[in-house]
Amino acid sequence: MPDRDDSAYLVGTIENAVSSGEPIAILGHGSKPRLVESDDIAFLCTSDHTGIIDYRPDELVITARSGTSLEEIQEVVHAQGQMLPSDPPMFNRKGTVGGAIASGLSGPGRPWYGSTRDSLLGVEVVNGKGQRLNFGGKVIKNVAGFDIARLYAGSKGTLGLILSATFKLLPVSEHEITVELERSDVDAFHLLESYSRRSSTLAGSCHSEQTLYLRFAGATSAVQQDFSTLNGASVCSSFSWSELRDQNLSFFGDSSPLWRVSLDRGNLYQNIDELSVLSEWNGSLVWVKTPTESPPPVSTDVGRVEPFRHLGVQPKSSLKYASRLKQAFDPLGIFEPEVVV
Amino acid sequence: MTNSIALQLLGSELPSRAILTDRSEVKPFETDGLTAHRQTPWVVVLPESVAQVRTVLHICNECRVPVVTRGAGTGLSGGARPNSDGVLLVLTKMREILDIDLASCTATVEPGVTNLAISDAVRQHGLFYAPDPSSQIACSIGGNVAENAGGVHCLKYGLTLHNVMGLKVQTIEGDELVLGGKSYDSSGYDYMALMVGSEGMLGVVTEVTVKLLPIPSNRSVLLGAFDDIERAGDCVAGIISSGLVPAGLEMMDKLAIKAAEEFANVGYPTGAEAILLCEIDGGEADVKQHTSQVERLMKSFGALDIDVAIDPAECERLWRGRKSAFPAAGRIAPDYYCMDGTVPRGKIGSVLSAIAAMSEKYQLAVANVFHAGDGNLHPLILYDAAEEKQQQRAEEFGAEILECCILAGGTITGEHGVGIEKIDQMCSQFSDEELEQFHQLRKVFDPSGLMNPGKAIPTLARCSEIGGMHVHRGKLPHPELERF
Ligand SMILES: Cc1cc2nc3c(=O)[nH]c(=O)nc-3n(C[C@H](O)[C@H](O)[C@H](O)COP(=O)(O)OP(=O)(O)OC[C@H]3O[C@@H](n4cnc5c(N)ncnc54)[C@H](O)[C@@H]3O)c2cc1C
Repeated sequence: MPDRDDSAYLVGTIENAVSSGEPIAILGHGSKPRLVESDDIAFLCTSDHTGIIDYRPDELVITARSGTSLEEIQEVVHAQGQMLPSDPPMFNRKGTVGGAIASGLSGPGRPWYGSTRDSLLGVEVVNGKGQRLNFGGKVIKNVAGFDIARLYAGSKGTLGLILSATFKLLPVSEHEITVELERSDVDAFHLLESYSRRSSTLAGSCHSEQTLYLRFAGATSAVQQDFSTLNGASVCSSFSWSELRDQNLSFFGDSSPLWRVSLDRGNLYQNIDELSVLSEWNGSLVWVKTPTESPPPVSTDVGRVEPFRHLGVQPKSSLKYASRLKQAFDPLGIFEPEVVV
Repeated sequence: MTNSIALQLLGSELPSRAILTDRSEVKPFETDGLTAHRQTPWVVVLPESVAQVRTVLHICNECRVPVVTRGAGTGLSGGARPNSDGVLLVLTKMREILDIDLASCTATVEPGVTNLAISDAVRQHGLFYAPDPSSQIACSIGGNVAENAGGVHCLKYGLTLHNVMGLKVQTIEGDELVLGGKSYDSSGYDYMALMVGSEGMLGVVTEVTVKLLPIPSNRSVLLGAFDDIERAGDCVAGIISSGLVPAGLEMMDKLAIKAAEEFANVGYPTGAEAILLCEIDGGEADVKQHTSQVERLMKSFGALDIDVAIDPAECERLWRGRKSAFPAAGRIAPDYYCMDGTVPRGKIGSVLSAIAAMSEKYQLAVANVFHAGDGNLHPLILYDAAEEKQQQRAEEFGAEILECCILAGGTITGEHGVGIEKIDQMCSQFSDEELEQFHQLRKVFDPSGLMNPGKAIPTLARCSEIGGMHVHRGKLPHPELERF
């Protein structure tokens, strides 16, 4: 993809919106569902604002324009033996840097490598007054001012447009294997729990229909040691963590309503209705498919359910601090007016 | 007037032992770790429960009395310096560990619990809380959250922000924000990101849920001695870019080595220009493999001497010198001023050279001991406050170091916060619009500006006063913006 600085156009469009009062909705490559489906809103697309601005492998830091595809970033950093730690979903390989931040989603390694927000070091944004602002920076430790850069993670385009972002990178592990085991959900749960209290190279888990896939990543010797202590496991080359990340596994292939259940760590999802379920993140992120549009039952003291796709994604009701926050960044309501997340 | 009403209300709502007003009683609270700046608080309140915290905030909000929250008072940027007409809300009595949840590997604690107390309480379960500021025996977890504290092991395990899973925060308007919890990544705005590092300006943290990690079964510590500080700096970059993630990677310069050795007697090579301390942890196999990898790297970057410790007592000995660096600096000079800029790792060498040149210019010695793996510098400027003008010179020296960090592409504070100390440098690091956005954000949680007023975020008026019309990143300031 060519490098192109489209910021003059992007900022100009926002400035025009500020003077005309016409709201706009920000779009990357359109790989993720929109907050509100509405026809009378103009789209501002970052997909022509592309390119890696600065990449210093010896600093483990990369800065890229928001329209840069995640795929390009991963390719470039992989060539240097590095990775974006949170491994954000690329859905249809179209995901962009800006979209990854705004959606705040992270890949299968999240419990071990941190979230997209965790590895975000800085952003350049345009707020709802049309001002270009920089928050955070390019260094690992930075506590000057409020952490507004990380506020943009998961803000879903409601607080402004992200022009560029800087991420911390991690070295790719020397060795990585995926193993497959036959385990019921209860047995899988106990096995995973046993890892949380000792050091290991575990770096990914996926359980569905009696099969548990585990990823081990680290020094070769340590990975081998972890593998050798696991009963009944066989190395599996057919399972793909990026297919899990991008929801390309057959589990995600039909059009039934999909729910994202976030469980308190250390809890097992109680599948009383025998629904179709896939869990990752050591069992604390559970994907549930339901036959109808009514959500799966989850006890509120251990988890929260959110609709993920094929459902009208409802913005949260306007909470006091959320609407004030929106007001602080977008006083005229230029970006997705009326929406707070 | 309002203050006297506030005091009356506080007296009627709280037990008398929770309120201090006598000069002698409030005197110990005049300053935090930035001892050069003192202010007698109007009244000190020591709440014993969340309900009492809420009562204090309610009264202060009604009577428009400023509130400064204080944990253990170890902060180094004056963030907890009291206000002459405000309440100093000290949380040290709220120090209960509320829950240790082994299933989720989390601990939930009150804000006054010390950082080390958490690790102490969970050690029997083979767990620890990773962020470990050097002040960990004293500093409170609430203060850690408010400053986003770091430590020696943050290179591998992350900062406070990466290790806090849930918070309860009381706002001045009387709301309790329950943020995060024991699950990952809840949807909605990331208020937790805002609260971590907010220096007591957005609310009072009254409960913290932290992530606990398994104590690594093995570790090793390598000490590499170098005869050239730039080469040691290059070795840091070399280790980081080799694909290793050490648990800690610290550097000390000649003066710091000498001071630490005199103080702690741990066998540091006092002839060296710089030492690197590198800790590797994990399982037996990877520690072995990575230790020899670091040893080879240190050799290839010209280390003259390498000491490798795998025995726990030996590891502890090598760390002891580093850990006593602050009191050791206190021995070689009557006063020291600890700076805290961060620069890209590749700039460590050149920034250290620039600091050495400034040391000549200001005629003040400086010892460097810092989190090299993170690029987080801690120059300790040595001075004598009793000598005329030395204090002022030390502060000017410090300010120039911070400007140098900004120019190198870094930041004015890596972990100690802005407080009152670096408030003027905020004008250099941020544009007027950026500062204005900080103010707007602050008003979301504290519309009347009662929480820790005058800290961390300078007013635009202050910036234009100190810098004339300061020019930021080559851009002229915007005259149309409101100055206040
Ligand atoms: C010898 C020494 C070594 C140090 N080493 C390190 C280090 O390695 N790494 C590091 O990061 N720091 C270090 N520090 C700095 C300091 O210990 C940390 O900033 C620490 O997090 C402060 O905690 P505290 O409880 O002392 O907070 P205080 O000093 O009491 O307060 C600091 C700030 O936090 C606010 N605050 C405190 N509690 C709360 C709360 N519950 N809710 C809202 N706001 C609150 C205060 O208003 C103030 O702005 C060191 C300090 C010393 C003296």
